[in-house]
Amino acid sequence: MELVFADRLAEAKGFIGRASVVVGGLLDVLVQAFWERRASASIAREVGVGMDRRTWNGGWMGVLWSDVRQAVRTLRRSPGFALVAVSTLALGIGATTAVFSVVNALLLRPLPYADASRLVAVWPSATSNKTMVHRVAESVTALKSVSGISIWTVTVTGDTAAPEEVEVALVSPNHFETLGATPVLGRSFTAEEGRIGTDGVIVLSDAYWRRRCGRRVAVQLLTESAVLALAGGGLGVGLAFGLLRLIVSRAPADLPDIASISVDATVLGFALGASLLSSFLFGLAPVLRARGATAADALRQGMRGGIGAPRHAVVSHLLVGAEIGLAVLLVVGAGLMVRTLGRMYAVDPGFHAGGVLAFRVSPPSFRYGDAPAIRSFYSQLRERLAAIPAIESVAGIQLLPVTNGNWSFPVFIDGNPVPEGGTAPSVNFRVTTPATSRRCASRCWRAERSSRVTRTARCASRSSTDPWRNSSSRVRSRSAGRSASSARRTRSSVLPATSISVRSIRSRVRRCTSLTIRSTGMCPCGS
Amino acid sequence: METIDPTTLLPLHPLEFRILLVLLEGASHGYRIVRAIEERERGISRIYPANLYRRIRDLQQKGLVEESAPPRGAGVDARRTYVRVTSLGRRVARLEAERLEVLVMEAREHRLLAEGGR
Repeated sequence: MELVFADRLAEAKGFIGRASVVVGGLLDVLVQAFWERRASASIAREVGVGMDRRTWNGGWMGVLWSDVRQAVRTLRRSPGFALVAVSTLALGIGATTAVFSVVNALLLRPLPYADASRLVAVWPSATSNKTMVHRVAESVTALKSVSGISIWTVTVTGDTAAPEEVEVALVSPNHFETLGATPVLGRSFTAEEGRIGTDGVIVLSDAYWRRRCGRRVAVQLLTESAVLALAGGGLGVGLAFGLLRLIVSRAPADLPDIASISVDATVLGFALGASLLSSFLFGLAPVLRARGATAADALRQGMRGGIGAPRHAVVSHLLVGAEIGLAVLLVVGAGLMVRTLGRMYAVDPGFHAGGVLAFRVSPPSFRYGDAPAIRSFYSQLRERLAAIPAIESVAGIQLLPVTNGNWSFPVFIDGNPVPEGGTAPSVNFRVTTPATSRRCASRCWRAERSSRVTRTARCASRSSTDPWRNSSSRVRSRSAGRSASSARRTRSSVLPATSISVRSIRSRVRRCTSLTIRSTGMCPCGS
Repeated sequence: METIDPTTLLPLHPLEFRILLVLLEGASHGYRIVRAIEERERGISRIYPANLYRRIRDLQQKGLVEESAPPRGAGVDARRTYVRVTSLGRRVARLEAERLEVLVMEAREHRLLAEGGR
């Protein structure tokens, strides 16, 4: 049989041809093995010997059951090997399944919208507004439907539940129509609800509806039972759950569709396939070896010389070599990743995070509707925090350093007008209280001082007064030209500093370095 | 010696019948059988080793083929095992051909085939 296989392989042309021979041969062995076992059971049933009652009464399922029991008995005799093998499979399949879950959710699975491939996202470089959305809809006739979206976070308060910060999106009335999505319950927006004054309508997400409103809309199907029969695969899936939770918890928040990463039916199918493939591949070599020893007796044909020990040695060496190669690859890859992580952590961000506790506060706009109320809130907050003996200093900033997102404004330069249809360069800025400036921002600004654009930011930073005490501060771009009315407009920086950081001189808060609660209840800059 | 009724071995599996037809021309080994069958079928079906040897073993167990010395003129390759058809195999092959002929005639009566050929 090996000779026929070798002849076929020698005649096959190209990689695909050879792969076809190998895969076809493997499948052939599997199919024929099944029929062999079935025929054996049939003979045993006729003769009534050689197999127990349960086996020859049960047809091919009985044969399978007999094989499983025999395998379990064999593994019991060498529990150490079984434990190592199952653990190895569980680790491999678990890790692979977890990674596949992420890849499947982020890359492979299409977006959960009708005709997702026809959806296009446009991110304007400058600040966008409703007029821009309308203009795009009118001018770009190739687009069937255009809707605008602006994502914010707000704090939801209530009499019973604790305040909760949730992500919201201000959208055009035709948003769901553009996405091709329909609500599970209720309705989406009407065109009239896009007008100011009649826009107090919201659509809740399914996850929020379940969590906050306590009703279950749909029943989730469980598809795990089919895979749990395989010990390695089952353990691997369990491990994948844990790994996945870890991956999701550590993933950047702006990863698309992060909430949908889960161990679903596709992933379980992958795990089952991986289990079966690995058991087949790793079981094949011993099967070939065992079969080679009895081939002459069993078939009395095929080969007289047998495949012999040297060929077994070659196969073993190839397997061991491949194993070592893969292990080295894994170790090198893991080492490089650890080194990269180490270097990332070693990057000097320009401030010392040790002993600093950062958190976000979000005063709801219906309770703190105007600037004096908000100032009063922050003033009290700062005084109370500063009164705690363990706290060394308190500072505020509208957006923490090294976090996702930026606030920016356009810069207009004298004698250098923005060309027609072009956009003015924009400047990212952060407004801080003096304490933050001393601890953090000064080094940040110093590092970027050579940048022309940053000079504007420095200017903005210097002119910013302490918002804790003053009723208002004025942040104005020094580069703003007289011809640029929008830049000349004075920005009312009532209180952009809504992230508070405190430094403790005691160890009890040293472990807490980043607890944040974001505030977007109000945009003091008026942007 | 126990006499086997050839009709009890009918019908033959199509691949077994094909193997017998090839071996009617003389002793042969596995790969040559595969090539001969595939050439006659002009690539319609592909025969894999495990399937082939299971069929050859079944034919051996039924007494339709047996191991043989390499035919004269064949290259000496000690690794290859040659098989040839037995007299029982010839009888069974003839009976199988007659059985199939009846089927073909019936198909022709139903105008599935043109008279006198394809």
